[in-house]
Amino acid sequence: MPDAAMAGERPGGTGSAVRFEAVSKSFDGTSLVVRDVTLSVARGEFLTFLGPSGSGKTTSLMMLAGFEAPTRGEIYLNDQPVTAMPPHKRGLGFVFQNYALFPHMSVAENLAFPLEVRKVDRASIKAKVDRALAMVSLQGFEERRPAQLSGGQQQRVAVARALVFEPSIVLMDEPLGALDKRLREQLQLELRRIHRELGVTMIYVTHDQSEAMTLSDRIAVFNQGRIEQLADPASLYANPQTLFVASFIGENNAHEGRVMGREGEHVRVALDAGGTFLARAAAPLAPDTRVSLSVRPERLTPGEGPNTIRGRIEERIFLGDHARLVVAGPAGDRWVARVDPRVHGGADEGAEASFAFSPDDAQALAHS
Amino acid sequence: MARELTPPAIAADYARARRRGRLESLALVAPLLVFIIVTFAAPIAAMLTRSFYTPEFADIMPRTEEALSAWQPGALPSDAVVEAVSADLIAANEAKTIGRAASRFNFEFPGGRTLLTQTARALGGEPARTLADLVALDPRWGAPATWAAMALVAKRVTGIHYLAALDLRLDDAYAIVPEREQNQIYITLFLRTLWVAGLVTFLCLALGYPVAFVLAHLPIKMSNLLMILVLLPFWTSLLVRTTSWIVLLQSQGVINDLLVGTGFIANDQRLAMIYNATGTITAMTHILLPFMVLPLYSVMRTIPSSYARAARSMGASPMTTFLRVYAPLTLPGVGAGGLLVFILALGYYITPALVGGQSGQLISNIIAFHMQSSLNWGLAAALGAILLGGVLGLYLVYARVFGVERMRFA
Ligand SMILES: Nc1ncnc2c1ncn2[C@@H]1O[C@H](COP(=O)(O)OP(=O)(O)OP(=O)(O)O)[C@@H](O)[C@H]1O
Ligand SMILES: [Mg+2]
Repeated sequence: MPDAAMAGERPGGTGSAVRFEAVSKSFDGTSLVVRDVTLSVARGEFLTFLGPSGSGKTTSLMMLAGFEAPTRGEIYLNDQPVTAMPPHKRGLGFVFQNYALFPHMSVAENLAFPLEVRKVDRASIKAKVDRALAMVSLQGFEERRPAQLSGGQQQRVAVARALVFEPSIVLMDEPLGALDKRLREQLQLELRRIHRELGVTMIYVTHDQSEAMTLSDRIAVFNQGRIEQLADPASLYANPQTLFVASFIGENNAHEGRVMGREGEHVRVALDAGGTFLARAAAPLAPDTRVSLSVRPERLTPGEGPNTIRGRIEERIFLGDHARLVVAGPAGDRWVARVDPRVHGGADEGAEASFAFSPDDAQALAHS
Repeated sequence: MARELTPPAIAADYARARRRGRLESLALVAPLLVFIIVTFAAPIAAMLTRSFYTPEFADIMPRTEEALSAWQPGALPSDAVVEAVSADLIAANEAKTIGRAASRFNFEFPGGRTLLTQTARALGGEPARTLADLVALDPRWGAPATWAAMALVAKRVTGIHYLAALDLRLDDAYAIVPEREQNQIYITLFLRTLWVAGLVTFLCLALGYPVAFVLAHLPIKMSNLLMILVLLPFWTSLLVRTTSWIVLLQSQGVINDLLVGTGFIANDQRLAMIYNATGTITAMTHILLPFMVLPLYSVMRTIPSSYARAARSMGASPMTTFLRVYAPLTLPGVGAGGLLVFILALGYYITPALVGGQSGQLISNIIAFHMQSSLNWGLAAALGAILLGGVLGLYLVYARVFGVERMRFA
């Protein structure tokens, strides 16, 4: 796979594989389904569109594949504008949410289809189909019809079919959405391996945040047609730039308040429920700005510190590797803490306790 | 008492459940089944029987049937035969049943009606003793062909209707020969019926496929609205529809007036678009179109757009996508629609009768003619049986090619 192999040698190499420039889309002329999306995907990168249902992920993918035209903006493939290019000339692999395997063709015929329309000779078709089936461990299923395959097998055929003609860019629209958790996790690992081995550029759509975390080099979080944040999984988790991102990715304590003023590196926030806390600010915040204070549950530790919550343990749930505590503050504000069940085994329901968190682990996020 | 889960016990339980299921479905279809047997299967069976079983003549003239049962063509009758025939004629004349027997004979022997009725009347009450007595009444009694024909008509079980339906006949020596040139009409009609049905099916497919495609890809609200236009032919009476075709197509009709008025054709060159095969084909295509559009539409509705998109994303041009992915997926609809239209067209009667003129008549029209006018029910039944057999044969071939289990009728 020459294209892909080259891309693999220089991940994130010079030019971008895919670029959106100020792309907007409206289906009805009034509401925007995709708003002003700008992003750039490096060669060999695994980029995920993550967002709730209806946030414009599929629409963005469809525009990239050429099935919908942007209402405004331009999309570039390998730095060439493609708005005028029909879908079959774009050379993208596409795995559809419902797999879209041709029901009237066998597995082998499905895989051979993209090669036949490219006029590849018979012998090479056979070799490439065999190789693609081996890649997804489906040797021996050549003559089956899609209807005779399980959901996971169909999904693997769909992946093999999108890769068999060696596209350098592969798009996948929630390919694992219909599968159960175990199978989904197993196939996630396979997708990761395939991406590594082939070095193709992947653009992947999901609304499952843990799937996005598992697979992606970077994640674009979509909300109402806009990209809220585009970053690698770790910084997305640690440094969410907006309240939406903070609450969409992982569990989160969010409490409303207002900025009192700067204190060195941090800002001091007065919560509506009472208490003042130090937090980092993603952007400069003027005093009196309405903000939400955002803290991950695992950052709350028993004890006292610069940011301290005192309250009663309302609920304690043992979850094997950790215990989940709900702490009720004096003004009825609730905080979720995630603690090591062995170390903090004594924290019983009903007990008074105090928890602290570092100012670096809290974010003051302005309300948009 | 807990039953053991041994294999025989499981098999028995399974069989019982299956049996109950089958009885339930039988009970559900029973009313329709009875209705079909009474109103459909039984009349068809009676009709088919008529095509080879014609007892009328033998019932009226039993002695003749007996006397001619082992007739050798070319021979002339012995005195005993002459006596039997003339006795039957006298008895039938008195019972006033001679007319029916004479009509039957007339189908196989032109002029046979008058021969029998006049001879019966001329005989008075006295049976003829020798052939010469009969020949004295009518010279045709002296020809072996007369007696050969009567021996055929006297048979209760006979294949002559099928021969006639295939433009064949038995000559004086009972050899199968082609019908006389001027009487050869049925093969031509069968072929024309096949051709018209095939052409109408093709036209319905050519016109219906794009319409179904558009309807299937519109929002459901809009397509339901437009579907009304397709279904309109169903909702108007057949006569109204056919009359409107006459208004449009006749030589003083709307289209011809328009063409003449705009100067495309001269007044004396008005097109003959009705009362011929063109009229039949036009009107039948119009009337049968919904039977093609509906199955196509319902199949196309269920084809997700992602198939075509997947094909395009893999590098297939719109044409290749249509030919290799979309069209094959619509085959169940094409198969069902084609079968419905073709079979309906094969048996179509009223439209060709009204707008077909001479060259637009189909096999059903001649069957109706023999049922209603000539009263040669045996021949009508034979023609109907051949049509039915042909349809069943075509259906079997068709089922082999398309696969009935893959067809989608709605
Ligand atoms: N063809 C279309 N015509 C009109 N509106 C559409 C069309 N396709 C999508 N939309 C609308 O655009 C919005 C975004 O849809 P899109 O399919 O991109 O969402 P998504 O992020 O993929 O959601 P999901 O996770 O549910 O698949 C939705 O509100 C949807 O109703
Ligand atoms: Mg989607």
